[in-house]
Amino acid sequence: MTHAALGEIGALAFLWVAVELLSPSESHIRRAGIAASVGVVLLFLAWIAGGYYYLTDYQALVKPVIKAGPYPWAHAVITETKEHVFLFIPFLAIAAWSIIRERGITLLGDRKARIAAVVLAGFVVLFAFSMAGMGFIISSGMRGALEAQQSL
Amino acid sequence: MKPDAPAVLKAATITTWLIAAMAIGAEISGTLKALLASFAGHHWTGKSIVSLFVFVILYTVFRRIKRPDNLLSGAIILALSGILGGVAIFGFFVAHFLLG
Repeated sequence: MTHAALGEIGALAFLWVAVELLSPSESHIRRAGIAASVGVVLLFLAWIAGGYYYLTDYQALVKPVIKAGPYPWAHAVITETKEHVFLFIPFLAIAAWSIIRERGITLLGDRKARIAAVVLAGFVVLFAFSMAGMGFIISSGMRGALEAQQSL
Repeated sequence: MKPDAPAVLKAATITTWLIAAMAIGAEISGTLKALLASFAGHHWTGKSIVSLFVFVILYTVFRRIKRPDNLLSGAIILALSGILGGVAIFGFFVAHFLLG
């Protein structure tokens, strides 16, 4: 899944951001800025790719199978949550990026601003990996539905 | 041009709550769902477009308002908004599924 790869690599970029900022130096802050920029781009691309998949293949092929299977909550609860909570992530990512971009090297002496960026980067990682977890549950719902069909 | 981080934090926080409100509101109100779908083809795309548009507008507005800002408080408020918004969305859809 393209959207999953883009999203998870974007999440890893923000994990990199957090790690760099936890032991700050000029070069670490510079790398954190690059990683944040790459992460924002990847997460926006994941938004587009995920949206395309959701509006095409998922609607036509996956959703009806899950809803007719033994785990309809995989769509009704998990997909519905995932598709909306995902929308938080790009804005969290932009917020983390904006702190690093605005404050730059002054983050070395501004501990609170640095922690702010780490907190937001950490939450990007948390939310993005929760997307992966929910994706696994949704896929399991699809698999369960297909297995139920085959056993009939 | 450097971004205005405090303005981004405020805009992102309000946008997060708007997304949560649209997520729940569109399930409660068929009219809202149809409105979101009417200009974007699908209500989810409509929510995406509205959230981006509102974020940009709010950022532009907050950029012009210069006040002392605490980045750490703003970041924590944004992060907690994401958590609470996510819990609200999940809780709503659980209730929606169980109650039919």
